[in-house]
Amino acid sequence: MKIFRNKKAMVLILLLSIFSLFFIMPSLYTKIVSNRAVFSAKIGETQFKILDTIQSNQEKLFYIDQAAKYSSFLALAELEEKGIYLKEPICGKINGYSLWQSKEKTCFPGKDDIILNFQTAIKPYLDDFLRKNNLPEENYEFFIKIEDDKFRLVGTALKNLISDIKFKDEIIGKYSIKPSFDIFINYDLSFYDELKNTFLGSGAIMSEMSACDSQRLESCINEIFDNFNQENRIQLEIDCDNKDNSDDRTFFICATDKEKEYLLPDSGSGFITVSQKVKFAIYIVDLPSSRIEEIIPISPSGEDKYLILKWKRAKGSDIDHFFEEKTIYPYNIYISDEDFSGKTITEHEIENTEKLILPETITKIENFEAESCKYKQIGKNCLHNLDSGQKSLSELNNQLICDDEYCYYITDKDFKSYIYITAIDKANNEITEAGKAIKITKEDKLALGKVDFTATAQAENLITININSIGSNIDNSEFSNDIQKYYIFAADNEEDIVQFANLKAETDDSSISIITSQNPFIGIIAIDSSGNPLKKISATGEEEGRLEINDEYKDIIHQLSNPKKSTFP
Amino acid sequence: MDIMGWFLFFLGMLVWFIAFTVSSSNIVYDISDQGGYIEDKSVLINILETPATESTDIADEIILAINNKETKAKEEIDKILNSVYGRANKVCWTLWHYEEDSQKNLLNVECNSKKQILFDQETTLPYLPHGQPIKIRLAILGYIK
Repeated sequence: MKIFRNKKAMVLILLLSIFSLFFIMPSLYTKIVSNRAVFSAKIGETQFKILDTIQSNQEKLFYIDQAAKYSSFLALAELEEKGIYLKEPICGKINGYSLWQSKEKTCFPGKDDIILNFQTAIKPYLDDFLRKNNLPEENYEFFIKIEDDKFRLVGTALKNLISDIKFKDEIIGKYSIKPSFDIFINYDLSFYDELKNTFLGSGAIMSEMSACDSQRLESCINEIFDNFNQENRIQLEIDCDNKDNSDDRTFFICATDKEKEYLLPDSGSGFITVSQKVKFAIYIVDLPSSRIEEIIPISPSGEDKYLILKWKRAKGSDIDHFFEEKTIYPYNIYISDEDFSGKTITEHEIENTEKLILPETITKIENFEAESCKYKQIGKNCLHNLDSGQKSLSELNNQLICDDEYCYYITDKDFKSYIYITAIDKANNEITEAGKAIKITKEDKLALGKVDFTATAQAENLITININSIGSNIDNSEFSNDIQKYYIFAADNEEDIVQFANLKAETDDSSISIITSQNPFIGIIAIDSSGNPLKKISATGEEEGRLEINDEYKDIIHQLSNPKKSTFP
Repeated sequence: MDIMGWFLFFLGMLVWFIAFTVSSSNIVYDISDQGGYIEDKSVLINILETPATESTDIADEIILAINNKETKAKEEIDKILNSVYGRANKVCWTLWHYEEDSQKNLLNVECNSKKQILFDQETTLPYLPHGQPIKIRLAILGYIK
């Protein structure tokens, strides 16, 4: 080995070996080792943080749902306390109570009113809950849907909820979510519809209250409420807050649905179970009596010439029919030649009508029956209870007579064709529109009186009949010239005449000849334009010309036939 | 020639060192398998949202419990936890609420066995009008044996 023999070469090799051993190799090792690295975090740890952030936001969404639920009940309780309207309704407010009925207007809240006010009322409650959990305030638009009367509240968030995704104190991202909510509220809005219907619907108690006597309005309303409460789920009471009524006719009312409850967040006890109970005020409008029904003119003509008007008595405790010392006028009778049905009554006047104010005097009677005045001449009384008592029609002239159901006005005044009657209450209220005006027909509808005639036998079987005159109606009153025809009966005996079995002729002439058996009995009935007292009835299957006596004449018609035996001259 | 051989040997190593230094990547990572788990925190929320009565959910009942009112919270929570976690044995659990940073035991079912946490979650509830939100914690501590 030559190299080992060369000293210089040996030094070079030695130096290179030392250089290699102490510099190159450690450097190489260090280089290899120092390039090895480890992750600063476990794989997926960052993603875990993202999931954590998402989950913590779910907690916030739950918090918002709960807060919205509690806020809803707090808002509803506030609305109940304020009578639904937060701002003054068009009917006004009184002592903090919303007026649902004023003198002129009705403001019972509908669903739209409730929704509108609820949207305003819920905001401060919800913002309070949100603020305390560092959630954005004034962040919702509310939509309320009523589904089968269930109250569904949808809160649409205006701003997103943005959270930092942090990893080792470093923000590595942001998580954004829209914190909207959609919840059902256990509150029944149909309560308000029922309440409105209770006061204003058919058979409503508002009209009952309006009819109360002003002098005892409060006790009258209490009675109405007591009766109502016994039969209904909704309970009504007045002065439930011990507030004095602001005036004689405005009342503070609490309406409670005893079967509908909800859980109200309460600072003292967590929650209290409360019934749906709304407070409001109403002005008891003094309504006029409703339209007078069944106006019937009785006996528009007759011997006494009295017109008797009959109508169903006005209901309402403030329409006083009977009095002792004070003067009251419960009825107006409007009279006109022209039909004024449906016209507006302004300040107790109807255009183109005259007015008669009733009563001139009032008489209370028991078991009064007014049927007809037609038969006085023949012994059957009209208004028989009266006539058989101490008073005659002339004594009752221009008087108002009332029993528990009907009123009668008896007058000899010359009425025009059309009439309408209204009731006036103690507060001088009258309906504002006339109903159907009643036509008083002065046509003579009474049966004609006895026919005066002569029956002369010209030959064995030929008889000439001459009708002389008819003096009056059946009741001796003058008749209109409404003789339409005569029915002439002939029979061998008087009994057959009054049975009207043998009609021989019908004529409108005052002279007629008939062929009949020898020397028969003759009877004549005059028939007026109304077909009284006999009518010919054509019935299928029967011979045409069957005579039927009108019901009202059945008792007396035999007196009208006036049978006579024919005579030879 | 020997000397040249040695020289070339060391020169080669130097070249290799320089080449390695230039061409090698900067970092070398070691990957080893490690387990991790994610807890679904919505379980507690689902429990709280569960209806307890016709008009309340369990969250409402917990608020009643905090106010010392009659509540169905205990039996309803017990029913749910056992239906999910209790199989052969019934679970024992505790519900706490926080008051000024101190944790107060609100409702619980006592444990007799060695404790083994099966479930432990917290959340915040809206409390009363004009009151602060309330933090609660529910944990299943083991089984009743």
